[in-house]
Amino acid sequence: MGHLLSKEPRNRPSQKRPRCCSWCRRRRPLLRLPRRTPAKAPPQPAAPGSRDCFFRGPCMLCFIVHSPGAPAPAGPEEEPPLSPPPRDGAYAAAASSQHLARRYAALAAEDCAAAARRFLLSSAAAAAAAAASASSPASCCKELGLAAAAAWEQQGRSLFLASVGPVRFLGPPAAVQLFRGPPPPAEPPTPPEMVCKRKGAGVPACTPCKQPRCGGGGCGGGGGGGGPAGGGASPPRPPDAGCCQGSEQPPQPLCPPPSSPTSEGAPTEAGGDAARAGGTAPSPAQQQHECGDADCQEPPENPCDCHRDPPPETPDINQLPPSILLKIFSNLSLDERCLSASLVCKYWRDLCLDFQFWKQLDLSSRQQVTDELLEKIASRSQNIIEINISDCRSMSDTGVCVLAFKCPGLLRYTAYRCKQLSDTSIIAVASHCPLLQKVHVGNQDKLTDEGLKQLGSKCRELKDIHFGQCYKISDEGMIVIAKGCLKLQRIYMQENKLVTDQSVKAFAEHCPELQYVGFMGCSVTSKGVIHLTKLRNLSSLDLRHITELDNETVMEIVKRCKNLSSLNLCLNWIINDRCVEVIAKEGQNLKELYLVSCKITDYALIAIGRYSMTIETVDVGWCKEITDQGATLIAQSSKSLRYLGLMRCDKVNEVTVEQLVQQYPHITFSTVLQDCKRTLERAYQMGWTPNMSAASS
Amino acid sequence: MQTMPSIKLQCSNGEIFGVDTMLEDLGMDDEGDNDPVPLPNVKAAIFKKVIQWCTHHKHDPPPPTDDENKEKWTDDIPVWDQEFLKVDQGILFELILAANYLDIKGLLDVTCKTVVNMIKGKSEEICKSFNIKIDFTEEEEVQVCKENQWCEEK
Repeated sequence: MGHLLSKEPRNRPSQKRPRCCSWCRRRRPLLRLPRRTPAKAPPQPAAPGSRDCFFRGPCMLCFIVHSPGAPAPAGPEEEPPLSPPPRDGAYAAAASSQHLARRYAALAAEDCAAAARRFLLSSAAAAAAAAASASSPASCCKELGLAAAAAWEQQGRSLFLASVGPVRFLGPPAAVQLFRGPPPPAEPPTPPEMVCKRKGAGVPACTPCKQPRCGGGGCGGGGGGGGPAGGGASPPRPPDAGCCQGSEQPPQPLCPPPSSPTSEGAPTEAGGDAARAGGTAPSPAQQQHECGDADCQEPPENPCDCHRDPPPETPDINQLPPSILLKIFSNLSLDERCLSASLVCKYWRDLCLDFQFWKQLDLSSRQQVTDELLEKIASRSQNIIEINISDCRSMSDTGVCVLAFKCPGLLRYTAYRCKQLSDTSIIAVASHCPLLQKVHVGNQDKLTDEGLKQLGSKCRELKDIHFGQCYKISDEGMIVIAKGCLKLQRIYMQENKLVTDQSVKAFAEHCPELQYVGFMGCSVTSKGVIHLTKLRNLSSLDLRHITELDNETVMEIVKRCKNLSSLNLCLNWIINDRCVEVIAKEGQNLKELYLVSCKITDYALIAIGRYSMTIETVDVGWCKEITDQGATLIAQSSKSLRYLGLMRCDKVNEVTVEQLVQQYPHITFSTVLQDCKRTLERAYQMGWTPNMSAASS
Repeated sequence: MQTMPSIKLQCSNGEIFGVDTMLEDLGMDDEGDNDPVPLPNVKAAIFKKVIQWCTHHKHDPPPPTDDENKEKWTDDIPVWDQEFLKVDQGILFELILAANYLDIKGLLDVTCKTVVNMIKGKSEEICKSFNIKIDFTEEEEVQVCKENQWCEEK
């Protein structure tokens, strides 16, 4: 490995402008071999201003000229690589550590313990397996690769899946309970000024006058349609809060104490149940007239009578306007609303039934979700836009069909591992929900091309699809989707053996907006992959363990797809140091590079450290030739690096890594030992206590 | 948009505050109008706290427009805000109302999140925390439980 490094000192004056290759006018040099004058100058590149080589496609000639024969371990000396221009921490450690912190925070205590155990078992297993047989890396990797794919689906858990990349898999959003819906129908529309938000106690909008406020606070402003609300709930009232109704009215009678609701004889109006917290007020009409601020309408629904007589100083959450309570509830999970909040009081029960909480539903893993329940929920809230029924095994195609029928506005449909579902459900969804944007039906192994064809022809708005491990799907269905869904942005496939280069080509040709593309484990080769150079918006590419992939294709993709920020090449053994060097040089936006089980050496790490200004995540797990030197040098030289995966790089010493951890605290190092430590730390923090069985093996 | 160094705001009790004009959203028109803007719904004590919060956060970037896919985090309240909001429930609710009335999204978000974090545990605990009287009859309570039972078992 060392022979590739120049013997000259590293700190040469850095050249700001790299020399161009005379052959192909590439902006940056390839391997800096001894200069050769080209036999003839090549003609100008075809496209004006293009930096690309005159030769279309992968420039084999350039490579031949510049790298005599084999890649990486090339014989001739090279000039020292350019020292990267100094950069400050442009890639904020803060951002990615915040990201990780979020992920930690998202883990529930039970997950952690289970995960720690799981992890410990798995690493022990992996270690044992590795010790036992020499062929373990591939199978471990494959397993972990699959596990990592599962992590794709479960955002937030991938931290514990040892090798294939840390946490940044694309996945469905973790929490789905977002409301942006219209205010609850029961509430009359509130004016934009939102002058009056409170029921009950309030101070009218007119000039305050020095009159004592009444205890219950329903000063003229209260109850139904009255004036503006005061500053707070029943708590301390301003000493001079005016009970002004305008001049005509004597203040007193307008502000009956809460317990005597009849002072003006019209306490009932306030919509539904009477006043809360003393919101008993004179009739709304009169009130509004008086108060001159007539546009406040108290929402009528106010069933909770429990606040008819609160002591004036007690804060009362139910005094808050319903829109605010709804906003608060929207931050609770479905479980918290249904199992806790709904049981607090009738008012909360009713609020929890509000439509906005039933628009985006995460019903995943609930085994009590049956077809009947789906129908019930769908009937109640027919404006469901997003639903997740992953791992629900008690419902069937029928339930999904009813749901689709009743919710034509459905935008996002997620149903992982619902192996009981067939084409019937997907066809129903396609037929009834033309606005569909996201379909994630990974692991529905009964799905066939028939379902896909329906999707492709009826759901033109599709942006995001996931058919991982739907083994029956083939090019036939995929091509229909490619041709029909021109707005696609994300495709995720996994181990669909009947999906070949044909599909890749079709997507590349028809779907220019693609950003995230994954064909892990599919029957795809370089011939198909090369078409992806057409996708200028490509930002994430997952080519784990495809049938065949050559270095030149990868280099070409990195050169052409300038927005590429994540590249996963794990388990493509052919990938070598040379390719990585080009990736490092050409990947101007590249942040993540996964090279588990590739044929690379320390040189690849060194090249990344030297040439890439942007890379934050590198995983070289299971690359047996990586040593302490590579790990140390990349940590030293890369300003942007934040994560280095060294899982089962057996030539790397844990002691060295421990030193690196101390020396470079902004970098997370992943090895067997480091991951165990992190897992346990996190577990302890969450109050978990260890099993008495051995922590690591 | 305003060149006036400050505008005057008059709280419910008549107290007047001069505030630097970051409050452009009030849509004041700069015609030398020196009359204080009445804020009858906001008490002086609460308004002081609002101003305190706004002053501390005046260099914050504008909050992002609500995104349907935004995750709901309630554990990311900045430490300063956490301390600031260690107040009685009553004050907290008044701050919510003031933030709502004055349309200060950042303050509304953080105060609501604080309340969310207080809604913890079983319904009895929630009732106690907020002093809410349970108004279910036993049958009604059973009914609600039954209807939501499907949530229970994962």
